[in-house]
Amino acid sequence: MSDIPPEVINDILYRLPVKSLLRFRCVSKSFKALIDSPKFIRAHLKQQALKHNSDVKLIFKSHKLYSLDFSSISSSQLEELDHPLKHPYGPTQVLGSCHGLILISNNLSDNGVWNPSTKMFRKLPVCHVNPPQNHGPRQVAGLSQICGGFGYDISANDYKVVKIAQFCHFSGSSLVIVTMVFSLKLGLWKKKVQDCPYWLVKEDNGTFAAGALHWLASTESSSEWSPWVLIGLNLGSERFKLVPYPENLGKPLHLNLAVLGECLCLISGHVVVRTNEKNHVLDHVDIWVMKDYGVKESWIKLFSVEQLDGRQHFSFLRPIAYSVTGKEVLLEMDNRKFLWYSLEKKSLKHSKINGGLDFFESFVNLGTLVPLYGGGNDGGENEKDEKEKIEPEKKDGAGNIEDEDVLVIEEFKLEL
Amino acid sequence: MASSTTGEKKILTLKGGDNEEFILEESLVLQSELLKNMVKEERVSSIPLPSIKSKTLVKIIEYLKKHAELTPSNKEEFKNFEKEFVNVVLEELLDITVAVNYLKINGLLEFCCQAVADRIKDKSVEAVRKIFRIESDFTPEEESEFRKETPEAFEGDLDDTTN
Repeated sequence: MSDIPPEVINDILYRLPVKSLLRFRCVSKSFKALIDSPKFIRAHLKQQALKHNSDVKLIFKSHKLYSLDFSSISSSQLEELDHPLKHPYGPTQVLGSCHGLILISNNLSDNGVWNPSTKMFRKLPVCHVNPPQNHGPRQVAGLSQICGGFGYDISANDYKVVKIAQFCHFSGSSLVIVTMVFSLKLGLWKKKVQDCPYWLVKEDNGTFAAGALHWLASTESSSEWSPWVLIGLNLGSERFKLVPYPENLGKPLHLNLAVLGECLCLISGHVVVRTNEKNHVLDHVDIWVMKDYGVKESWIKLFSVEQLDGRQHFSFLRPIAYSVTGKEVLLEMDNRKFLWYSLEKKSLKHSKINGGLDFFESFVNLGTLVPLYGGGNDGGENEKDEKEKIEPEKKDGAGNIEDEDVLVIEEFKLEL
Repeated sequence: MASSTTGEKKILTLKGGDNEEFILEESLVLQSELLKNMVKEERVSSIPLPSIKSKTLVKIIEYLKKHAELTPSNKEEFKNFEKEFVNVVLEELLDITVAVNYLKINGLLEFCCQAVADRIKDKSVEAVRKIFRIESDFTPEEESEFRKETPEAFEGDLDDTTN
């Protein structure tokens, strides 16, 4: 037996990348027990999130999925990710990522959550989103939008996959939102029907930050120009809530969401209106960050990027991550190249990152040991026991939002 | 007896494992939560540390001195010192880490653990066992199971050395 105190071994091991840890599980039974323990997995995740130069990968979604080491970003090679949903026809979509897990999808019936570091995969049972049958006296008409997302429920220490379908009423101006939530811990889909006065304007996947998935929504059905609001679906309460905007946002032409350093981020693209010019060319893009979630005053304009000259001009910029030093921000430009923005020099430079891909979307993914049966905590281990304990959530129609919770038991049986 | 004084400075004696004594200013050891507690609460002037080798204690005192001299202007120099500080054979680095953990010098502990982690990250399983002085309690069959379960973790150039 080692004479090195266990707390020292623990303190050393949780600073290691996943690849080393998977190997060192083989050192001894006590090493394996430590590395597999939920407490260790959480400490490791926390350490990964804190450190800039940890086990982080930049993942590219093109026709296939690729990854690149973030700490040696300009020198390392693009590696194809051999994911379990790979098939020769058509691309696999990435619908969200959180704590080193990614939600991948080929089509509505072929979805799963994957941890690229441990190669663990969990296929999701098929989920059909049907219009609500008995939602009050009103009749429900056509489907307007389907969105989705993936994130972490802080309160239950659980990871959740979300599918949202929005239906219009024949009469009246309100909408019904059907939210389907798959809990990784419980292993089942849960259906919730609620009135929601906001129209989800884009088919975007929700942006995950601070325990909620976020979308931009409109307060009117038809007009693209009606005031946009920012709504967040809290993954604990599974309710929508308005999230405040920055005070001086101006009147942007484009507005998009992103996450930067775990903070929710708004990308607002502005134009200078010139007469006799029909094509709007962006003049500048502002990157806003909400430092303290939910607090309007905490929105700060992190930086602003002026349009580049001539042929270099961009139509869309998206912040991806802070650099290893934290002094630069990596920006994805028009899905085809990268720029570095220096926060100190307030200047842009082209990045040498070259995946050799013509068109892609990118995001950063932490190397974590997070398992797929739970949130990496003590509760996640006895998945079967947990399933037997499920009780439908109680209705508590707060405000004017009606809820209707249904556990989709059939789906869950199919999975077994 | 209370610690002896020369002018304003209190003097403290640390006794290492090899019976060597180190006489130093009390203010130097206050970065150690353990020693600070003993000096402040129990008012001792001589502290036996039989589990820490003198060689290790010398290194730690060297660090405490450098850290006490740290000012905003010599930050770079201190960083270089830190780099050199952990540039010793792994066995010695682990001895230092264990001692620093015992003495509760938190900033240095973090630095040492990270240094050990960086050094062992590409090591083979055998090398890690030797470094941590651990005997395997897995059967060869169980070990080959691990390799089947996560083959990519055993791929690449793994380092078999222990230094």
